[in-house]
Amino acid sequence: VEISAGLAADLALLTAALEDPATDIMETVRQLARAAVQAIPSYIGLSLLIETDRHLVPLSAFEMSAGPDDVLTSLTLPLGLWLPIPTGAKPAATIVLTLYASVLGAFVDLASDISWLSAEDGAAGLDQALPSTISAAAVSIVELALINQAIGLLIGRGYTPDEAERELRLTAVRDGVEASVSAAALLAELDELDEPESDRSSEV
Amino acid sequence: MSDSSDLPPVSAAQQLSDEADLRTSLDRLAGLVAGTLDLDELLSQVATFAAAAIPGADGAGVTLLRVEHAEHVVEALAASAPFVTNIDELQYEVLNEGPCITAAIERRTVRSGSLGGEQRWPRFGPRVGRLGVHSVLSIPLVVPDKLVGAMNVYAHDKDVFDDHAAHLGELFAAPAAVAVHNAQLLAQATTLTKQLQTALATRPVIDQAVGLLRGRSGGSAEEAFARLREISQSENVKLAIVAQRIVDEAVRRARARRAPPQ
Repeated sequence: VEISAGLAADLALLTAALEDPATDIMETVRQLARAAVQAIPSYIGLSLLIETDRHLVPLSAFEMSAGPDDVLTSLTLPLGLWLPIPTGAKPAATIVLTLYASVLGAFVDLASDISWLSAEDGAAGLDQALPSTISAAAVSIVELALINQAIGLLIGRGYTPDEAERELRLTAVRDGVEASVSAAALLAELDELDEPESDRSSEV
Repeated sequence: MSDSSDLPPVSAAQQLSDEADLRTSLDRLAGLVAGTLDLDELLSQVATFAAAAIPGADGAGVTLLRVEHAEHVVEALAASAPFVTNIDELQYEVLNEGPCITAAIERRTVRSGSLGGEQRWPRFGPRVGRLGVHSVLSIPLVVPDKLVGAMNVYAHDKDVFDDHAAHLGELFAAPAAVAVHNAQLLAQATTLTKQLQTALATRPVIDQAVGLLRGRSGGSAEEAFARLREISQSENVKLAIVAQRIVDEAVRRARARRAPPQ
């Protein structure tokens, strides 16, 4: 499977949050792709759509020499359904896995098997999602990290979390950019403060 | 086709009871994925259901196999009882011979009622016989286009598995093959979901703490993250808890500054 630099950066941030040296989410993605290749000969890629309470994060990885244009069929698995969630706990996100194949009908048997194995009709959805249907409003994990860092910075300046988030959003609307761009600009001010005096004077 | 047996036919009552056990195990096989946590657990469940479905079984093992150039490659194995684990490890890892390997390579049901004197597996048979296990029934797990693994069912007594037991085992093996075939994919998907859920639950507060630390003392995000990690290690407290504490303190201070004077 081909892991782009962007996806690698996203998965590295998530892996760091696990605090488990034995776990590498990128390796889990590779193992999942290997298992998909074994199960479906015409499998060409996968995507994960992560939906938190405020953001939509799409991640995708295609096999070498394949891409979204090669997709002819898909199988969507809403993974949260299979995980037992402790009573009262709210999952951090809903996660939908979609597998892609280049041959029509490639997932028919697997969809039927999964419905039987999970004892749930509709546990696997055929052709519900193609790569082009991913929302333009989506953010990456790296962008999400910038937004949260900027919220942290504003909290340090006396904002409550809600106010910080609102401030960031309003600035983005005012400047006509995404929230992650406003966040990056705010954080870049810190970098400027960090630069040695001589560097700053040389820029003037 | 299974090997022949000279055992007397089972009674009608026994047949009804055996079929009820098979139905129960097949029902349990369906719905297996819900709540399943990993591949080993899923395979272990299939092995447990197999032991319950096949009359006379004292234990069963399920192996995920790949056959390459007449050689078998074990990808995962699970058992319903510790004695099965010992026997299957002996078969796959120590001796590289036995009924399951034969069943997988020849893609047919194989059985023996007297392992101690078994000629087909001259090293495996006597070793297992000395462990007090004398009967085995091995069935390949096959989906339409390929072999995905094998199922071993063992009993301590001699001549336990007859044609009837082999027939029930083969009826169980067909859907079990579907479960085992998809187990790897589903288990990996479930593992990934768990890892992502855990990471997503803590990453936002870690990033907020990183932003707070950067605002206080400058430096890059990597340096602030390293500082958080140092605090976490020196206090022996999880990173996310340290991050949450730093954010909570800052929020408390921000709210205190707004509070009207008493």
